[in-house]
Formats: sequence, C-alpha cells, structure tokens
Amino acid sequence: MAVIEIKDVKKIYYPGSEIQVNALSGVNLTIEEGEFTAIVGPSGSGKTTLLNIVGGLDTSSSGSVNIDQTDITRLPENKLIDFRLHHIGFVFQAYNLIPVLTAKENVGFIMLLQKRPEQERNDRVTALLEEVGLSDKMDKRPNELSGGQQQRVAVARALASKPRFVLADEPTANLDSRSTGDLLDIMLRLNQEEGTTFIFSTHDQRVIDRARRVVTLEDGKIVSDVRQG
Amino acid sequence: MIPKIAWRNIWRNRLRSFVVIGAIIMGIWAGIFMSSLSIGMTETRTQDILDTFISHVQVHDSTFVYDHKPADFIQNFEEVYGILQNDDSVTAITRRVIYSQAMLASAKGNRSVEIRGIYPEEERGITKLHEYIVDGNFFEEFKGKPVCIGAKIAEKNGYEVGDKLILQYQDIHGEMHAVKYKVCGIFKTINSQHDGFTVYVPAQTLFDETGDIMYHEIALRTFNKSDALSLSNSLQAQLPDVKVEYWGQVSPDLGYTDEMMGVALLIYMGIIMLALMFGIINTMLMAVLERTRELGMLMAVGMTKPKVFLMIVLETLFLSIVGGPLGILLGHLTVGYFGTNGLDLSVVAEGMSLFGMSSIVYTSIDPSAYIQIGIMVVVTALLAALYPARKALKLNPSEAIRSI
Repeated sequence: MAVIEIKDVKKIYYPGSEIQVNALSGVNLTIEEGEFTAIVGPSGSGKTTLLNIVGGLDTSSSGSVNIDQTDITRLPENKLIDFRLHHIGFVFQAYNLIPVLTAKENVGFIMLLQKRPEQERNDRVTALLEEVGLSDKMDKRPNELSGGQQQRVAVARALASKPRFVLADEPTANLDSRSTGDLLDIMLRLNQEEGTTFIFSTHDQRVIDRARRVVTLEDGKIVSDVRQG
Repeated sequence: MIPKIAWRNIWRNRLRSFVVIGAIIMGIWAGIFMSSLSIGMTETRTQDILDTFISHVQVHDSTFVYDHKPADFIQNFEEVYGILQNDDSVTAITRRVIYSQAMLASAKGNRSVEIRGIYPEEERGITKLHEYIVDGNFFEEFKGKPVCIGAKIAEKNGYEVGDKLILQYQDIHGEMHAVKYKVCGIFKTINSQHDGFTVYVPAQTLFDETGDIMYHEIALRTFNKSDALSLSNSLQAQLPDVKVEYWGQVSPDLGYTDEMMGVALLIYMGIIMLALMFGIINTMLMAVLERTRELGMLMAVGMTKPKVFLMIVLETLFLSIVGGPLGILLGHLTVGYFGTNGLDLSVVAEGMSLFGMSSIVYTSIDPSAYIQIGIMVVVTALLAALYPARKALKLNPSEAIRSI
C-alpha cells in the first residue's frame, strides 16, 4: 500500500529572478508501506528539498504530496503542524534533541504534545529506549551522551508518535563508522520487525549499500530508482 | 512539560540569567528605596509642618484667608468654638490672634513680622513649638510682656533672651500700637522661613493692648492627618459662616506634594521597568537567536506556535519571578531599616531646612505598593517577552534546522 505519493512536484526558488533555482523539476515518486528508501545524489540535487516538502516543512511550487490520501500541500499551517505531529517522524543530521531534557523526556515530549496518557507515555518511552539500546541512559541529558547515542535517542523520539513513516535527513553525517553501523542496525531492525517505513537522504555509501531502495536525484530530477537485495 | 522546559532553559546560561535577575533585583530595590525616601521626606516634612504651626484643620472668617486683615476675625466665635469643642473627632483645639502686617523694631534693626497671639497651654496640645525652643522658655517664666521669636530673627538682628524689642501693629480700628516686649524664648523649627517671620506672644497681652477680644484662627487636631479632610468637610457643613480648611487647603503645596507622592512610586518604577524591559528583551532575543535550530526542530516535530510563544513568555516570566520577589524583599528590608533608624542627611541639613525638611529622613512606603510593583514586574516581563517570542514564531522550521 502506498504511504506517500509524490506527483509532479516542482520547487523553484526566487522564481522570475536572475538567480532562479529549479530545486525540484517535476518529481514523481511513490513510497510503499514498510520500505527502507535512500534518497541519494550530489549536493544541490534536491534531496533535502524533497524531504522537507514530503515532511511538510517546506511548500512545493506545484504538484501534490499525498500521504494516506491527504494532499499535504493544501493543508493550512496549523493543520500541517498537527499532521506532522501525528503522521511523520523526523531524524535530523545534527540530532536536534532538547538539551535541557533527559533522553526519556526528549522521547516522551512528542507524546506529550499528542496528549497521550502518562502511563502509555512511560511504557512506550521505556520500550523505545530499550529498542535503541539506551535503557541505561534514560536519565542522561544530550550533553552526557555520545553523538551516536544522541542520534539513537532521536530515532526513538521519531518513533514515539507512532508515525506512518520516518524522514531522516543525512542521519549518519555526523557519526563515526561504528555509530553509523549501530544506527543502521537499529533502523533496519525496526523496519523489518515492526514494518516502520524509513526515507532518508544520504551521501554515505555504507548507508546506501544497506538501503532496500535507492532513489537517485540529479538537478532536481529522479535519474534512477533501484530496489536492492 | 513546557513550563519545565522554560524553567530549565533559563538556567542554560546561568551567568546571563543571573545578570538579568540581578538587574531586576537592583532595579526594584532602587525603585522602592527611592520612592520610600521621597515619600518619607514628604511625610516627615508634612508632619513637621503640621506639628510646627498648621495643625490638622483651621477655621477662619471667610474673608480672612485672602488678605489676613485684622478686621476679618471670626464673628460668631463663641458659637463656632463651642461646636468644635464638642465634636468627638476633635482631639485638641486652640485659638489664635494674628496680626500679619506687623513690625519688629529695636536698636538692632527693624523687620516685618507676623504676630501670633496664642494660649501657650492650648498651643502645646496643637503644635510642638515648645519643643523647638533653643534658648529661654515657652512662656513658662517671664517678666513683663514676653515674646518668643524665631531663631532666624534672633540671628539676623542679634537678639538674645531678655532683650527688649518693640512690636508695632494696627488693630481692627486702624489704630497703631507700639508695645515693648521682652524676648522670653527663641525657637528654631525645621522651617527657616517660619523662623524668620513669626513671633509669638500671649493672646491676653494683645487683648490688654487693644481692648478687642477676638480671634482670627482656630486650629485643631484630629486622630490622624488623613482624617482631616473628612473632618473639615463635616465641620464646614455645620458651620457655613466660617471657612473650615484641612491642612492640604491651608497649605496647598503640602497637599499637592502629598498627592504627588502617591504617583511617585509609579513614576520611579515605570522608568526603571522601562530600562529593565530593554535589558530583558536583549537577553531573551539572544536566547531565542541562539536556539534557532532547536526552536525550528520543536516546530518541525509538531509543537504549535502558541506553545512556542508560551515557552518564550514563560522563560521571561520566570526570570522576573525569580528577581521580582528578591528585589521587593531587599527593598522592604531597606525601607524597614531606614524607616526605624532614619537616614541622616545632616550634611545638607541647612538646605533641607529651607524647604521645611528635617535632616533625618525616615523612609516610608504603603505596603500595597509591593502589590503594584509585583504587577508592574509581571507586566514588564510580558511586554519584554513579546518581541523575542514573535521573533521565534517567524522562524521557518526547515530553515531554522539548517541554520547552524
């Protein structure tokens, strides 16, 4: 079943000016439930722009992005925020955890915004942090965790809201190879065992090698879409 | 969770938060202290002037207040005095004869003065003039016709206790009197203008000289100076033929100053809060701009703009809520200390005396002012939060996340 249907999405920066940039030039892409997809391509190819538009963080110049039959490009801002909260999980390159909250609080924060009951929050937070191998670091703040550990907390946070899919923008860019391996193991396990749909942009060949599907962008267009292994 | 994040956020940069909290504490303390000093000075001055010669309420003939003419004495004195004496709110009362355009003459020089004929024993219940005698006595021991003169007169003309001088004045019939008096006491009040212009003699000596037993002024005291206005209104209603005035009408500058002090606190605190507001805005703006990526992330993952706004406002409010009570406490302790022990400003005593002020100032503040200050602190914090919070709301999540 298709989770995301991207139809003829274009993104033009500074339209009509001398410095007009066609970041996306009519992208069509369908992501099925349970896929583990890498969006790859050189810098400036439009990877982050595509992820931002799919994540409802940026608007397209034209085209539509249907997520579970809802065209998010037509949602007003307040509904879009609510949509993101309930349907999309985010993992950022720089982790972006809340520095004043512990790992447990960072993960639970999303569920608090969703107004989930305390007991459910506590149970899910504990389960997720165990899943990412951080059950002994629950009460640590981000500055007491390594980069790899912080990104694992970020993955747990992304999953806390029970999203339809997780968007990860260069999730391993700041990690060493061991942390990258650990994080990929966790993401793949979640994908295989729990059916979590992951879409991530990356330059990292180690990540590309383990992706099930690799979509390559160049100059704002999809130039290849390959399913692996 | 949002209050928790806001609270923890303010301690992320402890030094910066402590500087802002310190500024709030010092600002509030300074505002309270300055206000209490002004209020204390005014209250001390008012009280001293009331105790020295004005008292709480004065009664005159309706026309006397304009020109102080001797002929404008209280016409139906016995009736008026009887009503006043029987009023339960009147705690002390006295009568005075006043010759405002008199002359003091002697071999040592002449000067214009105001002669006040008084009943010394009654006067003790009304003013503290007897406490201000610096030489001689207040009509307790004397020979001949006694006069108490102000220290300024004594100083300018070189008079001493026992010296003889002539008092010249015109009675209600236009007849001039020039009578020899003997200095029995020299008083030095906190008001040098009064001391340079006023002489006191027993009323009876004036009656003996002129043969006219009449009074120009009735002065009375009530329980508290704040009750004087209502008492004067009530007496005026009973006595339509005379002019009844409370101290604020007798001396409009005193009344005006007293009213002004009510808003002095608001003015001082308003200025201080305005300055503080810019400091807080600066700090919060730095805090917001430093956390662009974090705020972008919060909005990206689903935190609504009102919640982001609330978080920034709470952070600002928390800073003020920590600083505000400490500033008020420090101010309260300072006001309490100087309210009991007084602040000695004797280095400028002479200048203060010219304005009718005592050199020891007792700070004073209405406790309800603390509530006003508390409200002002909260309002300041809320106003100061608006701009940084608005700045945070304008962040675009996708740009904010990539910004650093």
